Amino acid sequence: MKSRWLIFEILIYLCAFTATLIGFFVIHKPTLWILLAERFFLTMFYTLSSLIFLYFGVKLLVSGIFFIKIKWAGSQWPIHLIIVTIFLMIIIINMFPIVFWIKLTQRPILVPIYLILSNMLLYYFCLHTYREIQDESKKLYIASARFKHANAFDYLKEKRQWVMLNNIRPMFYHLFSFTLFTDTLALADYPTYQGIVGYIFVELKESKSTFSLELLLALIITGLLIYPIKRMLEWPEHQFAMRHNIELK
Amino acid sequence: MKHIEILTHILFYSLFLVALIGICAIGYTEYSQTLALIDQAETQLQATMSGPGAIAFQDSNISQSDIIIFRQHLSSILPCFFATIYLYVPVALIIFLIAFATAVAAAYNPFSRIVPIARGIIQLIDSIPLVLWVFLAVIVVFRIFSHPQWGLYFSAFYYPALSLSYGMVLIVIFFQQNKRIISEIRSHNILNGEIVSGVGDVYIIWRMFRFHFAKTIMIRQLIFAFLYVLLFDYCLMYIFEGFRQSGCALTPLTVKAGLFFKRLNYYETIHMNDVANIYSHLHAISFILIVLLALISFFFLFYYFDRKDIIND
Repeated sequence: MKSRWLIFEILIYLCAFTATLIGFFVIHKPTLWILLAERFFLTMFYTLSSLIFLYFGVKLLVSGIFFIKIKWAGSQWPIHLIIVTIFLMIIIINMFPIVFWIKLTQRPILVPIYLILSNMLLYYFCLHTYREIQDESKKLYIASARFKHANAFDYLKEKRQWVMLNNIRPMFYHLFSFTLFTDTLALADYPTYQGIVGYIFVELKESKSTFSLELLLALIITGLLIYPIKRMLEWPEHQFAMRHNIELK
Repeated sequence: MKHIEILTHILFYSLFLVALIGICAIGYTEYSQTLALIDQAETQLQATMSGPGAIAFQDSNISQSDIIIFRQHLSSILPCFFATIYLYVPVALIIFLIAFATAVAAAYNPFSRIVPIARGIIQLIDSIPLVLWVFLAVIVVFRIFSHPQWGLYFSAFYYPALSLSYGMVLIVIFFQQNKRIISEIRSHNILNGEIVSGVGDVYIIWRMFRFHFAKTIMIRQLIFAFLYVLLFDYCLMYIFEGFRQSGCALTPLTVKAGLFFKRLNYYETIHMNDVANIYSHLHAISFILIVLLALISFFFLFYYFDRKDIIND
């Protein structure tokens, strides 16, 4: 039944895609299509490179926190205070808006870094993963690990992986959205390297009072191009839901 | 007894809300008056600059105009704060309420008919990136406000509509948090016990809100939403001057971003370097505001780590 729905969805998507493509060629020149595709791939490059940074950064950070927590459990060290201090450091780094980092060092190479270090993004994902793993570590099979001469950190490995995989799609969406600022500020002097979000924004700015067909087509094309990526990235969420027999959303 | 308790709570919250909105509205009106004065001074300045005695004006009257702006601006520091609260707190409240309502609809009774509706709303918000929501909101808002009659009617909703589109992604995040907490409460069979004892659904949801959400999670989420929308708005103001139109309140961050464009526009024609010094205290205020918000969120974070279990709150 599910595979049938998937085929149906793919067919609808292909129909919409071909209709938009035909509309594009009939109404406009194909150069615009090529321009939009170029811009989209540039945005994908920035977004995916920063996604890789963010994925491994959050994974290392949260795994490190849990490693310390499990290693020092029962000792006299103020573990909670250390964890809260780490989160405070993340807040202090992360609370500045993206404009702050771009104004500080205006270099196109650092675009992925700008995307990560702004608007509480790193903080939110760190806190979310921490909470999820914390809830899991309260369960009995983790609590009883040390009585089985095993390590609780290893028992949490699967949970750590799944939490990170579930977070990929929201991470991607956040990064994609914030390329608006890097396109318009960090890459202001390099118009050929600007992404699709910056292009749409400039179109919107120019055609503020009058309705523009190019803008609408650019929005539709962005939606159509981002849809298969969204479906691919939410595959781990579905797998996780099926494996653990839980509801999605 | 129960009804009196509910009534007193509703009265308390409503009085608090009315007082807050009243104070903010007074501050907003004061500030809008000063804003009109600033505009008037600017138009006068431009009129004199375009005339034949432009060079003479630059030499003699520049200090006078600086004093005018400085006086008007000093009187607008406090209303600036009120305008900040007036703009962002209702938006944060709306975001929280939508998230809470959808979470209750999805997790309180899993067999209810409204569960697919709640999930559908959340999936609709979640399946579109934030920036596309912002673009859609901007297109719709500009289309409405460019209309001569409709623009006047809906001018009060111009800024909240945009701010809500900035914080759209937070609805999904708060929904997930709230749903997780409600399902955790369900797993302890507290709700089942209350349902069996004959208590109504509305009262159970109200108690759940009061004991598990109002003290900790609501405040944390409100602060987070406030901070997020503020920062996103600040970023957008830097790249797009047109987001601010007439009839819209200004915050310290807005003034700072507006000054950025003002400096870009007038720097070559009028050498008003002193204006930057006059406005620099707003930079400090905005920074203090952000630090304070971060510290508040830090204390709530500390509270989160301190507690052992959600049920013991």
